Amino acid sequence: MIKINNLGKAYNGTVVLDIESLNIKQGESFGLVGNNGAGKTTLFRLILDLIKADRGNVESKNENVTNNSDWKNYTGSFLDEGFLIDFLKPEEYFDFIAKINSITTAEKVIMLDRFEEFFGGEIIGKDKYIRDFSKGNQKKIGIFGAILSNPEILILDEPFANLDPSSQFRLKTILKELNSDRNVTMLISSHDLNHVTEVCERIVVLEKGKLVNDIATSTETLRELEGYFAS
Amino acid sequence: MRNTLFGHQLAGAKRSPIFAKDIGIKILMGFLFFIIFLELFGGGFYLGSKLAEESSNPLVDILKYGFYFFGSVMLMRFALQKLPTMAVTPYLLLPVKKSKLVNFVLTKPLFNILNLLPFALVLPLLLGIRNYITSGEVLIIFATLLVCDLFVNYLTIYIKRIQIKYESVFYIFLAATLSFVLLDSFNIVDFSALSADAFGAILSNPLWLLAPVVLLIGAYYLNFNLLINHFTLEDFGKSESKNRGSLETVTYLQRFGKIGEFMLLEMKMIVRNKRTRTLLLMAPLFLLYGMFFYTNPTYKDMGGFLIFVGLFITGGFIMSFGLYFFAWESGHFDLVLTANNSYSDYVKAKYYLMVGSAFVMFLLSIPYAYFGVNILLINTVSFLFNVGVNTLLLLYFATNNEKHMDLSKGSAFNYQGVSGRHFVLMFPLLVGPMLIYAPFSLAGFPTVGLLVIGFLGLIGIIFNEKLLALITDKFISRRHRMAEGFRQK
Repeated sequence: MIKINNLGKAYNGTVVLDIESLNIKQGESFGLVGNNGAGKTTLFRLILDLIKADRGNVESKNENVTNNSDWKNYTGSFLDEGFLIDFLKPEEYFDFIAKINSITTAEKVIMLDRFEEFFGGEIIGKDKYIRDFSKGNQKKIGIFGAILSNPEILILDEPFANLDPSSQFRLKTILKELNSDRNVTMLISSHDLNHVTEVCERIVVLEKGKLVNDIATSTETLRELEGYFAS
Repeated sequence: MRNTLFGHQLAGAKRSPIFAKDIGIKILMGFLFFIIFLELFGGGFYLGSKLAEESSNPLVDILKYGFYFFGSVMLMRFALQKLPTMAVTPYLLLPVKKSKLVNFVLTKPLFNILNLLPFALVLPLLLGIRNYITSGEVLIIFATLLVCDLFVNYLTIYIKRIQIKYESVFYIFLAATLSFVLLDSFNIVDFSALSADAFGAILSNPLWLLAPVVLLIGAYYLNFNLLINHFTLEDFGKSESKNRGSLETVTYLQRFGKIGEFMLLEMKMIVRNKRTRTLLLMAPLFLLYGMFFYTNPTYKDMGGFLIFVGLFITGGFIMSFGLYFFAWESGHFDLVLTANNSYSDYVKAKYYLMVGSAFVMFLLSIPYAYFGVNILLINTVSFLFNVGVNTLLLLYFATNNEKHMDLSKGSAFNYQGVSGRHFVLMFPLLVGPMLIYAPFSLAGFPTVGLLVIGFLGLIGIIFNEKLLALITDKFISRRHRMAEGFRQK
């Protein structure tokens, strides 16, 4: 579904990403791990056509994402607060996303129901703008916004960070459900090896912009990863 | 301790990225300042000598302008001076008394280069009239100047600070300034006489100097109090405004589909963010332009100039807002690029919003027809030109915007994201129509000139789909650079 072809990006002479080839199949739950500066966010940004590659391209359903915007119809994403409209209330933000993705009110209500536990009563019905919420809650708003658009591909950058333990657990359940029930292709990056091995069936390790490992998740994977990062 | 704090500030200034990058600009600015000083010196001296020759009592003449002088200094400081701030959080954990930190922050304004300007003007002035003035009087004038200047300095800082939280203060300040100007121009209050009396009193009895000194202490104390009580200025900026959810229930625009959604979003953005809200609330001021120029007989018949007025009235908001199209959304630009919308809808929404605002301003300006049908014609063609040409030009050139805009830091005179390019762009927007009008007017067909301007606007309106498509293409080609720039807070 997503093809990465000879992708390269450098800032100020330093190479931040250098991937010859990487293919993600439809319905795959794909985990991305790596230390800070490994290139995870850069890779996601390139897939979402937010930055221009120095070399190579990304194809989604065989169309170059830079030249063709069709991928926006079926891709939902949340990377950082730059995806939130901070002067809207969460309800307005969700309304806006629903409208431009042609999600009916009924569908939206069903999804809000599903996420009620995840929100923990802290998001809906509060009379405040998104910018006045805590970082953790803003993250929840962003994650829901990405999933609300009913995407075929979901891209989340470190979704577990800043979430309290219960929310992390609930998010894992939601993501696994999305992948198994609706065959959503998921790209998740995380610093938490535990989470990522639980949710993703395939894990790719980046180091200094290069792909150093590509594993199919098994019971051994967590130990393998821990061993890698401990060295 | 004071030396340590000072050392830190100096190091901070030297290491800031601004200092490093624009060294060329700093040299240019230094040079400009030097020239300005020279001119002030020369001008002051010239004024002084002329007064010495022509006036019967040059000293009193100078004193008459005292109030005006300090008034202008205050306005200049308000516009140009940066608020002295210091990142206090690192120091809070150290055994340093709060009052020491506050006092230190309050000494920063003393080192502002603008402080030299009043002296640069007055010194040579006094030199010019040196034959009519004793050295004792010079000393007193100097002392008065120093005290009053400091007073104005601290008062301005206080007002600038407090309007961060209480937005209304800025508008009160604006209104007060306007009323002073009006009182003065209609001679209801004779400020020059008052000024001469006040400063004359100080000269004749130096003890009166205590009055401005008391004012100065008062202003300093106001600042001190404000800082001590709101030590973390971060929370000071967060307004506890009760009107959450402005425009929340507006559903009229939904019938226009996605474009309507974007228009509503933009309107919400304008109303709910301090910086854009200030622009909006200043829009009525553009309407007042008419009042000022149409009642003035010199301007009333200058067709070319009235075009300028018409452009401002119908398009003042468009111009001040439109210069920074796209940059206003730098906070969520990534969403703009990844959301399931067409860029063409996104751009069109902005266009229609500006058309709407110009139309509203035009409707509000129709009463000005009272001053003559010609004025109505001028305003109509200006409106058409603003909609058909200027808005599109602004959209086109706004794709060059790359600097992040923080919408929460709202005050007028916030220069974040402003670059010289924006000032340059204003020229074709305002002067263009006048250049078109000029040859017709000179040839004796001024009305035809006006009609040509209106016609150009109409063409822009008729072909707006095509032109908007061009603009959208430019946006698409520049979007990555814009996104990169907007991401850097």
